Amino acid sequence: MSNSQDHVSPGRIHFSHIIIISWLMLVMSVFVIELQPEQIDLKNILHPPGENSIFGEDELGRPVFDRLASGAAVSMAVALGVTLVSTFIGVLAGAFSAWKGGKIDDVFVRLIDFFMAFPGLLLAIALAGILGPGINNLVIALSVVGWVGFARLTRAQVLVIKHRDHIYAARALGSSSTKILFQHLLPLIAAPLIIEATFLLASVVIAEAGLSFLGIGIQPPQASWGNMIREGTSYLLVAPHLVLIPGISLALVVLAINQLGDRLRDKLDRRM
Amino acid sequence: MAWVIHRLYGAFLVMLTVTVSVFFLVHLVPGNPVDVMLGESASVADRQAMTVALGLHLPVHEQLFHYLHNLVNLDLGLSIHSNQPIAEIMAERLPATFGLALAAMFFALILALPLGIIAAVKKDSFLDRLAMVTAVGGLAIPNFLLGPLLVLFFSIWLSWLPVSGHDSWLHYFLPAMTLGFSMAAVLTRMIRSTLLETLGEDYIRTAWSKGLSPGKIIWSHALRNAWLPVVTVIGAQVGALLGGAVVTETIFDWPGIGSLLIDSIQKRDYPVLQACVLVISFVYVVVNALTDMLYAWLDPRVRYQ
Repeated sequence: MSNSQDHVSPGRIHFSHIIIISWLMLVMSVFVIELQPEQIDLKNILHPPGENSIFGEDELGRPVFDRLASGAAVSMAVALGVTLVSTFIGVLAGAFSAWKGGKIDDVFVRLIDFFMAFPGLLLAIALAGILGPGINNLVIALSVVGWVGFARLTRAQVLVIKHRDHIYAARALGSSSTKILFQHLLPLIAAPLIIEATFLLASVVIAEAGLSFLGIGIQPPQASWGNMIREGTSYLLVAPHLVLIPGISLALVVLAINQLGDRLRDKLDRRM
Repeated sequence: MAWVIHRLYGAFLVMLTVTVSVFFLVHLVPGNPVDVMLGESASVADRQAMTVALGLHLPVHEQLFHYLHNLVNLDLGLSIHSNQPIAEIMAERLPATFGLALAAMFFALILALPLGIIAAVKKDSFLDRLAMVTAVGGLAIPNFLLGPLLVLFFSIWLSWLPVSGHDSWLHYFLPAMTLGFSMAAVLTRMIRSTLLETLGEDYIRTAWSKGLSPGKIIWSHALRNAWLPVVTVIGAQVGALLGGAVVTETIFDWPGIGSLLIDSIQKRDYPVLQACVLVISFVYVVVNALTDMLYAWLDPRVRYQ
């Protein structure tokens, strides 16, 4: 499967690098430049992209660039938050279950099956709707969905590796379970976990935008790529840039992260 | 047969746990759900009436028992907003969602089949590249972006298709395309890769050397073995399809369960919200069980495991 390695040399700059660096710079600009994403300017309503403001103005005359940057920061914060929480919980739970085995593992497999019984996005929508709007609730709702993948992956990997000789040796030498987990197991399964985390990051970026689009994620006036698209759909005919700018940004970022994941997989994971 | 019963029993257990957890969903509402639904200004009498109507004054295990008991009798309670029986609302809304989901699957298949076949047969050609770009794009473009873009293109610029409403078959086009595109992308990749695999097999070479026509070889020899993974993918995509239906129905004002769910969240109509989650999850569990059975029917090896 890794034939793309043959013609992509490691150090080459790739399309996805450029996109991800732009994404990072957009997020940084929130801290560096004084942006005014919520500054209403009724004289410039629906102003198309042009010399005065590079991405134009929205239906309330707010600068689209500033809103795009502020939305990028929100999106990245949610994506990193969910990925970290999901990885932490999923890896610990999966490793613990596989390591202990027996009854604990049986119960755990049932629990995973239970979470798999809901369509992921639906569960996130229901939870976000019940918990109410806000960035914390959004992270909670998406993490409840996100940890399952990591738990499954970790459990499967640990089940295989725990019977290797070096683990038996560590046990015989009297290492504690915690030490074995962190020093002897996790380093071996880090590669697939990092790859999984990359794909989760991309799907959380989409999910956050989706929930905000539905009106149950980031609430206006705070900008999110999702609620920018939602607000822009009413002005599709007169000001398509309101949908196109956040929309294309979103698609490019997701594409770039996924490509990064694909290439990481080719590079790190020899078995796939 | 034993296998089917075992699978159905598993599905039943999952449904039971889903039901119990959907029941507890409302208990996750921060604060008292009655206050949240009625607002701060409601009178004490109104609050009490609502508490009794929802059975929230009873101990939790009794509430759960009542909930399950009513559910068996297909009684999902009353909508707080419209006071209509929720089972009636569901019966009105479900056909629209099913229709949309079927139309989306159909669209996905008629797009993915030719694309996947052409891409596999003409591997590394321009057409293959084009098909793969479509497939990658289908995954990167979320449906809440695709929907408005399709509206812009087909309804506003070309004025070919209507935007909302669902009276005639023309109304199905845009929502079905929006919902089905990501599934089409996954299917195209799947069909391409399985076909590439089977086209390299010995029995295909035999078929060529017998002088069979390319159409016959691809259709009745190679594609036959590609159906199994395709069924798996369709089954696995149903979850995404149901989640996507929520977004798509909201974009196109489609009167299905998905838009009802978002509506109930906005109106804080928790009984309706519970019912929506329950019904969608049930559909998901049932479809997954059916996919497994279809799979077993297509591939006898599964049955003997």
